[in-house]
Amino acid sequence: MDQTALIDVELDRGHLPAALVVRISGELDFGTTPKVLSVIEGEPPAGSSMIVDLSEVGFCDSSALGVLILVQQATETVGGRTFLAGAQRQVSSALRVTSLDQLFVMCADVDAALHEIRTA
Amino acid sequence: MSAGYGACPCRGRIVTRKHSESDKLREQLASLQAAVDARTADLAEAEARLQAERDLVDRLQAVGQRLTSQLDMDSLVQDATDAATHATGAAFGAFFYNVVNERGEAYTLYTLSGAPREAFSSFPMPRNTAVFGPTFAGEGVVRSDDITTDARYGQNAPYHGMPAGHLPLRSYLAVPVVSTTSREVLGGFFFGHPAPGQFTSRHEQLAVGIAGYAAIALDNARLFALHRNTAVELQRSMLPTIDPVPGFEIASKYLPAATGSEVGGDWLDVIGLPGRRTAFVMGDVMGRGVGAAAVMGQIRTAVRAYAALDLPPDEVLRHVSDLARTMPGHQFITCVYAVHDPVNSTLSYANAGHLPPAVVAPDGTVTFLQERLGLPLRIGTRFLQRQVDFPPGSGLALYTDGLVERRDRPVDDGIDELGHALRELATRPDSETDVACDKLIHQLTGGHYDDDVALLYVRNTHPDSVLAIQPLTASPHAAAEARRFVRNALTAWQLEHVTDQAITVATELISNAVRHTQAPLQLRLHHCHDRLVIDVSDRDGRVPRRREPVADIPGHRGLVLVEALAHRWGTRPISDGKIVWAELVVPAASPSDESS
Repeated sequence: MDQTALIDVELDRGHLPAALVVRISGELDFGTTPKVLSVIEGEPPAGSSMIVDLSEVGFCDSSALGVLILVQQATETVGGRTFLAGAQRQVSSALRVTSLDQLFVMCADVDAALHEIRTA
Repeated sequence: MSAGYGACPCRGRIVTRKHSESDKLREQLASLQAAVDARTADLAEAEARLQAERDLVDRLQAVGQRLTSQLDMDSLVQDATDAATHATGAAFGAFFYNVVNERGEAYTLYTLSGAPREAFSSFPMPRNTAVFGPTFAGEGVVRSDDITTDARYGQNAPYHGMPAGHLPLRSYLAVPVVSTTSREVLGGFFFGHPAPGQFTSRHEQLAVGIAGYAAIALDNARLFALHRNTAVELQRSMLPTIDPVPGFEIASKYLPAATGSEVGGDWLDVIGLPGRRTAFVMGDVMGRGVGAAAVMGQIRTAVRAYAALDLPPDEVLRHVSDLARTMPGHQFITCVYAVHDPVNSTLSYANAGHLPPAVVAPDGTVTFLQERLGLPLRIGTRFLQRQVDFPPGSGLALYTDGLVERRDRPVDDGIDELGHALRELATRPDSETDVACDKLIHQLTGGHYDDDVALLYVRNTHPDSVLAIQPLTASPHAAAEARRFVRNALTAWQLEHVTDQAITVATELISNAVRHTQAPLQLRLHHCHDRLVIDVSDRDGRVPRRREPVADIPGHRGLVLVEALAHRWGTRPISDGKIVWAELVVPAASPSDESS
């Protein structure tokens, strides 16, 4: 089995400079998070916010939560905010029990996040 | 003889000449005979007197020996009463003696000889009257040929004499029993006879002699009881109360030796461990008395303490042995420590020179775990550990030598007999286990314990449980594979409603094993009743610690997740690494879950 097929990470620069959208699909754990890190390294550009689309993420473990924290820190450094969009049941539960849901702006989907950025 | 032949030729002459002389001689002879007879009678009388003296001494000696060798108060006082009543030729005799119970209350009991208990049971206890007073005050002997004419008689209300219905009594003899050590009055002997003038000074001597021996014997019995009660109390205070453990029918029996002077150092224990596991312990400190009981108490506590660290059986015994070496005394101590794990229905055990545990399979087959796994505690420095299957329906018997060792039966025969008895016990329903264990002890010991008897019998009544095992590799995909495995197992077990929690916990445990040890072993899922245990083993002895995550710094959140989702979690060492486990409460699936 092709284990790399477990995760797919895609950057959508179509909404820049307002926000960079990261679409992740698959399951996030210590085996797959390195791929996420490699894709988002150096992002987002100065002044942009970051929208992580989690609607296709069926599972996330503590190492994935660690990656999300790194994303938040990088974005904050360039003056943006971090949005988590469309978190599924297990993912939002993991965010909730670790209280990390307070660190991010939680949105129903990417459009809701973009709307919030534009009306802010 | 040769001189006689020379006299023969002249015999006729002599006979004739000596006729009148012979009459004289005959008279002399007769008087001599009479004197001899008289002397013989005197001697016979003297001999009879001496014989009687000797009898008296012998009798006293025999009674004394018998009395002073007894330590049981009840049989001792009865024996003394019977012996003294017989020796004094009394029609009936009584012994009133003072006892102090465990609450410190003093009261008087009595035994009777030659009269039924009903003859006195309607009368009050004798009081400090003119007749009885000197005896109870220990002032001296009261002997009266006819008490009814004695000046001391009839002085005290309400009876002014014997109460109506009293046995006919004229001759009276009463002797105080006074402790030779404390001078305390322990009680008094009272003898009676319906005819006057029955008690002589010899009877008095005998009664005083027996009273002396009775005093020594009572002192001994009191001291013995005090000493023994102290040891029994000490031992009892250190023995745990065995609480019920879900999934087991437990019978624990501890019977102090009926014979012998002091309690032994046997102990038994049942200890709840994390992950629904249970430790069963049986041990024996050789030697008897307060010293053995005190060592037992320390060893038992040490076993509990190391058990609480959740060390494997061999390590528990090794640590306790090391500790025991630092304790004063030199008794050797045997101990067997067995842990039941419901996840794989096994019993892991180590044995420090103790008698072999018996495992009763669900089909009734009895196996003694005979293999020598270690020397007794204090001597042993290294212990081996073994594992046997222990599925629901199995039984485990731990015991001490008092159960199988008897003076008239070798230990091996005792163990054989125990095997037969356990096979029979296995056929009894769970509800009868306790009673059946009493019966088993009675059967093996004949109801007479030369030594303390301890028995712990445990029957595994765990409901059916399911187990799924997945080997792990150190690959980055280990957790993803494990999640698939967990989802499949929980679907098969109709536990889909806890899948999210279970895969989160499993992933974190595997993540720790893969990232921090590089040597994960396996993942196990165990479902029993309302619990799901997820555990991950690895070949690294280091124990994970939950660290407080810093607000916006990545990391340290794995065990936070586990702690949030699991009912409890923990870690325990295994022989070549460790197990990290988490227990999830599994509510029964709601109808909506089932329909979805």
